[in-house]
Amino acid sequence: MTMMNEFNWHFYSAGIAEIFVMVVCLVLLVAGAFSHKSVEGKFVRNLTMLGLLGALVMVVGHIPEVREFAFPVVEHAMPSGAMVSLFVNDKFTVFLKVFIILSAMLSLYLVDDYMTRKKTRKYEYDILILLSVLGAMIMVSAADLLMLYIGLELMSFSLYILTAFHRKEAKSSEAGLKYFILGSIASGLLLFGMSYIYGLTGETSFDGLQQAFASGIAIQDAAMMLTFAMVLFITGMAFKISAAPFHMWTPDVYEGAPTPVTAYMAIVPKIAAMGIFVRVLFEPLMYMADQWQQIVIALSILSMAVGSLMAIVQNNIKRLLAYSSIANIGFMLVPVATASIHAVDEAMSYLLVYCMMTLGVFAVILSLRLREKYVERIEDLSGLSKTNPSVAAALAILMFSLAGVPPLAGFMVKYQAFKVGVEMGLTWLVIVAVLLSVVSAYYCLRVVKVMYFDKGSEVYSPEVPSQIRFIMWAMVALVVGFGILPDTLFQIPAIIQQSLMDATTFNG
Amino acid sequence: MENVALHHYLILSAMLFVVGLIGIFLNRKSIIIILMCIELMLLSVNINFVAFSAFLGDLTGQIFTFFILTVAAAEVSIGLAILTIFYRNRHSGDVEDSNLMKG
Repeated sequence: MTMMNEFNWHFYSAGIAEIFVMVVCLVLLVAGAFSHKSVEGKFVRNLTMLGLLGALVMVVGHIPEVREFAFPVVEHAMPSGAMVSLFVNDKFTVFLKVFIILSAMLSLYLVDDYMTRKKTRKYEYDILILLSVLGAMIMVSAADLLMLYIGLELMSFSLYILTAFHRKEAKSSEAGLKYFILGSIASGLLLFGMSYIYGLTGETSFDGLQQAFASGIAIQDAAMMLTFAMVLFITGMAFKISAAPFHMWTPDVYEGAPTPVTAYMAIVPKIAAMGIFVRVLFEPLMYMADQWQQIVIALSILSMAVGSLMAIVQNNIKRLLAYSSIANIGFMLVPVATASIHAVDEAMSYLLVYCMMTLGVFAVILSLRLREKYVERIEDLSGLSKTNPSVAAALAILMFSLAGVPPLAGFMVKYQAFKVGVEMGLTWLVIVAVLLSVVSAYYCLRVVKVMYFDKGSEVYSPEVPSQIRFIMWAMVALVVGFGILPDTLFQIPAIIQQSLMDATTFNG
Repeated sequence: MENVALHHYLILSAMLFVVGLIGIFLNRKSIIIILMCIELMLLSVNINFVAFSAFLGDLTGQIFTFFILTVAAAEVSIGLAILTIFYRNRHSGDVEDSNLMKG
């Protein structure tokens, strides 16, 4: 039993990056309010970048060899002697946090040009991004249902506001409203599931839940109720990763939100939600795998089917990307659906590459303007290969990668995901996935066709801001590079998979 | 007076939760009603947590409830703020008027 009478820094050191980001948020709120109107945007932006950089250094500078805990719950210690904590830090969380922070920084670079043109440049934007990054970091580090809920809500609330950030535009506010309502329903379902999980096991910590399920007592006594609770819980998580049939919010929110927000929303919450989803499935719910495997298989098939088929009829490129993200979540769930922890690294490397491709595509969208208005319809891209060949080439490479054409990274991760599916005996699911990935190739290649073979009449605004150009080409380089050297791509996720495996065998 | 057992609380909270959930989907009029339904869902979860906590003799559930209450307050204030800007744009707070994006 630990004494908490005196302040013990050791209890908080594993969560130092989160504490730092929180302090930066609070400081920025004050700094933004008191600094002069003409400088506040730049000032807050620089401090935000510094804050994210500092958090990155703290996360990378301290990669734990074994699991580390912070924010302990004092009252009861586990029989194994492990500390019961709200917060965990291991290689898995470090990987996800680095990934979250880098994505957030890159997506902040996309904002300036857009917001300046739309005359909605405000310092609150950066603070909201920072808050949602904080939520995402807390969420992936959660070792307790309570921490998971708090992190999830902090992330989601910031995103609701960001979606409605262009408050004079009807579309933006409508998207914010829809996102808010559906997100709240999702967290209601999640909480209802959590309350039953708590009631039936008496535990909220992931370790405690794992032990309760491992001993089988909880499962025997109330198997039906527990499965029901788990279904509600997974439903709530599926909302957040926008897996079909809980994807209804995605297209509307992607379309209505300001494009830089959409770019952010397509990446960071997906990383966080997918990361914690995998952790919850393989850590506390590990011994319920027989039950959740069917749910994940259903989510996977439905997401692939809905995403791929609905994307075909879309006319708006942001909606197209929304359905593409749904389809890609489906592909990502194929390795997870094997219910084998050895398949986690395939899912994570898919996530990594998916985020690179998405960020690249959004950089392209943000660099194209017709008559000083941002391009949103797909037919507006016609003739892009003539008027702006370099941007067209970048978009074509990214679209080929999304479609899964070798030798690009998109193909490599898809191949690995399907391969592990076959190895683990889900051949029929992989066959469905391959067929639907052919369908998803259609909508990706349609964009390429419009750019290269349709006649365009309009001339694009020529100048592309250097930051956006940099991100665009960096993502293209990564997609091509990882396609040629796929081994490097799979090394890091393999390490974090090992870390997750250590975690799940932690209590024997 | 008969004892109130755990399942009485659970049935009550399940009923409240379902009222909230169905209210959201059946309601075709005001968005304010949706906000109230969301609140109802979260509060029914609180009843669950407190009931479980009391019957398990474990305080975690009640602590959870406090967090849910706080988060629910933040949630509804964000919801009302978004509804306000929606109303300014569309001059209406009806569910049927949130129809700019479809498909």
